[in-house]
Amino acid sequence: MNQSSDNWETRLEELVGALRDDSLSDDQSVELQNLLKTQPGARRRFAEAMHLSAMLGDAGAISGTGFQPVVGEFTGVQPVPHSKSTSNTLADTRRFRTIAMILLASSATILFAMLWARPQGVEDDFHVELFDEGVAVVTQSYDTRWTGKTQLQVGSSVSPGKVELQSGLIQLEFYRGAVVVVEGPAELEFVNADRLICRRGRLRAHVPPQAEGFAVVSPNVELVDLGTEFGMDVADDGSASVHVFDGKVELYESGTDRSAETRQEFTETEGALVSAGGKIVASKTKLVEFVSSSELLQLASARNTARLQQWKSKRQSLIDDPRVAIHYSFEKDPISSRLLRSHASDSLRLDGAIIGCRWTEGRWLGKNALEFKHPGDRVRLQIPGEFDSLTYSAWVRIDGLDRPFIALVLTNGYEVGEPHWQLRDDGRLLLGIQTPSGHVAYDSKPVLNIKHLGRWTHLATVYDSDSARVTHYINGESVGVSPITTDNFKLRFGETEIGNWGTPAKYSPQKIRNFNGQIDELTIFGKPLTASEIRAIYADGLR
Amino acid sequence: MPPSTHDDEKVEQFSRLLVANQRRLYGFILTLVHDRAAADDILQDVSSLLWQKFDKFEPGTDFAAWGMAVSRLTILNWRRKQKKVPLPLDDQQFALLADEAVAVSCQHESRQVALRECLQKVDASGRELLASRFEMSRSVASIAEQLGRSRVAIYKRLNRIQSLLLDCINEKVQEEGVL
Repeated sequence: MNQSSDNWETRLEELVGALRDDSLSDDQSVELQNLLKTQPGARRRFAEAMHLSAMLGDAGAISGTGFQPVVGEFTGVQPVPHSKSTSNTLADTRRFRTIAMILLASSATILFAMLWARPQGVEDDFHVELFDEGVAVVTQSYDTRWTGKTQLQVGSSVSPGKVELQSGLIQLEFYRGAVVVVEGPAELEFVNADRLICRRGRLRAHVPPQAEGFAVVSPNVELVDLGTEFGMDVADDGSASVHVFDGKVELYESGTDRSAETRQEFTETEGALVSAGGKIVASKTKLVEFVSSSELLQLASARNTARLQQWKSKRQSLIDDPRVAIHYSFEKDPISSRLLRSHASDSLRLDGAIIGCRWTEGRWLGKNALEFKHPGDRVRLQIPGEFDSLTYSAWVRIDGLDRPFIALVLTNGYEVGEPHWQLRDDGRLLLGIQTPSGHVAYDSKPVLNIKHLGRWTHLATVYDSDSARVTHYINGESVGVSPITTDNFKLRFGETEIGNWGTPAKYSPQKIRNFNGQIDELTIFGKPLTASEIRAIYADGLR
Repeated sequence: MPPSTHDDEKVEQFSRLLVANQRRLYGFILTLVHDRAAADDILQDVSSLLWQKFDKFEPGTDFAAWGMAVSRLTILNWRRKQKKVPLPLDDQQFALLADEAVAVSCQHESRQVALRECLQKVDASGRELLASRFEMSRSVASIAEQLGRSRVAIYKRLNRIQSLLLDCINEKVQEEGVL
C-alpha cells in the first residue's frame, strides 16, 4: 500500500462516518473491512472513533462543556461519579445520588427504563448561524477608529457580520482572493468570501482572476467584478459612484436579483453614477480619489517607522528603571546572532543563549523578534538574585495553544522559591510557584482564544507580596486576581529558560512545554508594578 | 426479581456499579454493533443479564471487564441472528476488534475527561453541529437541509472535527500516561 498514514486515517474516518449514519454502501463496507484487516492501527483507530461517537451521544457531553456544570438534571447522567474533572465532580455526585435514590424506591423494571431514558432534543436550542467562520483577514490598517463592538486589527480574521469604521483605512484580503481597501466612515457587512455589503463608505478593490465574481452590494447598486480593479463610493443617501481602473465590472440595480434588464457593463477608465433613486448613468469623471493598496502601504509604513521610534525612546527609560531585573528587547546582535542581548544595567552574565529559534520580524518593520517553533527551541538564561515580588511583562505573538502547559519563562526544574510563568491550552495565564509549603498555581480567567492567535499580545503578571495578591493582565486589562496565602519567602530563578522548560534529569521523562509563536520583548521587574504602569507599558508598545 | 427489603443492598450495589460503567459498556457495544438503536437494546439486554447473574459477581473484581465479556457474547449472538449487518466481520476479525474495543473502553474515564478539555478547542458552531448530530441524534440530511448546505459539506466538517477531537484525546491520554 502506497498511502501515507494520514490518508488511510482520513479515509477510515469517512467510512466510519458513513457507517454511523447508516449510509455505508456495499463497496464501502468491503473497503472498510479490508482496511481493518490489513492496515496496522486501523482497528484501534476504528474502536477509538466509535467510542468517541458513543461519548458524544451522552447527554450533556457537548453542550455541558461550559465552565458551569449543570446540576441536578436526571437526563444528564454522567457515568463516572468519581470523575477526575474538578468542575463536574459536585454535579456528578448529586446526579448519582438522585439516581441511587430513585433506584432504591423503584422496581427493577422502572429502574432499567429510567437508566435508558435517552435525552430528547430540543429543536429551539439549535441555532442557524453554525457556519460562522472567517471570510477575510485584515492585512493593513492606518489610524482606524471603530464604532460598535467589532474592532478589526491587523491579523484579525473577519467573520460574517457588520462592522462600522468611523475613520481611518483598512485593507482586507478576502479568502477567495479579492483585496479591498476601505476608507472610513464606512458601514460594511461581510457576507462570505466573495460578497460584501457596503451601506456607506469608500472602497477600492483589486480582484485577481481567481476571485472573479466578487460582488459588492450597496443600497442602490450591486457590482459584480469580472477580474479587475475598481473603486466605489457610497454616500449616506444610497447614491454611489463607481470607477473602473482596470478590467471590467457589471452593475445591476439592487434588489433585482441581477436582472438582465438593469445590467450595465463598464470597462477600464469608465465609471457610473448611481442616484439616490437607484438610476445608473455612465460617467467618465472620477469624482473622488480612492486610496490604493500601495498608498495604504506607504502610509502604514510611515506610521510604522514613527511607532518604532517612539518605542525606542520609551525603551531607554525602561532600561534605566532600577526596578528592572532583566530586560530583553529581542534585537538581533550584529556580531553574535546566537546571543540574546540583555539591556539591563549590568554585566554580560544576563545575556541569553539562543538554542534553535529563528530571527524574524517583530511588532514593527525593522524590529526583530525570535520565533519559537520546534520543541527544542529555547533561550537559556542565568538570573541571579532573590525577590520578594515580581512583575513579568512580555510582548508575544502566540501562534498556537497546542500544549497543556506552554512555557513563557520557566526555571529549570521546580525547586522551592522558583516561579513558572506559562500559559494553559485553555487560554489561561498561569504563574506556578513552588513554595515552602508546596506547589501553588495562580491562574487567570481563560481569556486567550483563537482570536488572539497570530496577533501581537501583551502579557503581564504581577506577584505582589506586599498586598498579597497575584494579578494577571492581557493587553493592559486585568484578567484575574488571586490572593497569596502562603507565608513570605524569597523568589529566585537561577538557571531559567524562555519559551521552554529545561528539566534536570530527575524530572525525566522530559515534559514538552515549548512555546509556539514569537517573542519580541521581555522584562522582569524585581518589584510589583501597578495596574496603571502595566497599562502604560501596553500603550507604549502597541503596534 | 421483585426487590424485597432484603435485596435493597444488592440493588444499590448493582445500580451503583452499573451507573458507573454503563457508558463504558455502551461505547464497547457500539464499537461492535455500529447502530445506536441496536446498541441501546443490547445494553439493556446485557444489563438484565448482569442483574440475573449478579450473584456470581465477586465484589472487588472488575465489573466493567465482566460486563464486556457478557456483552461480547450477546453481541456475537445478535450479529449471527441478523440477516444483514452493515459491516460483516468473520469470527477472527470480530475477536481482534473486540480486543481493541476493550482496550479503548478501559481508558473510558481518561478519554471522557480529555474529551471535555478537547471540546474547548472546537468553536461554538462546531460544538452546535456535534450537539445536533449526536446529542439530538439528528440525521446529517436533516441538518444539511436546515442549514442549506450539502450533505457532503456537513459530513466533511463532522469528520474533520471528530478527527481533531480524536487526535487531541489520544495526545492527552498519552500525556497522562507519561506525566
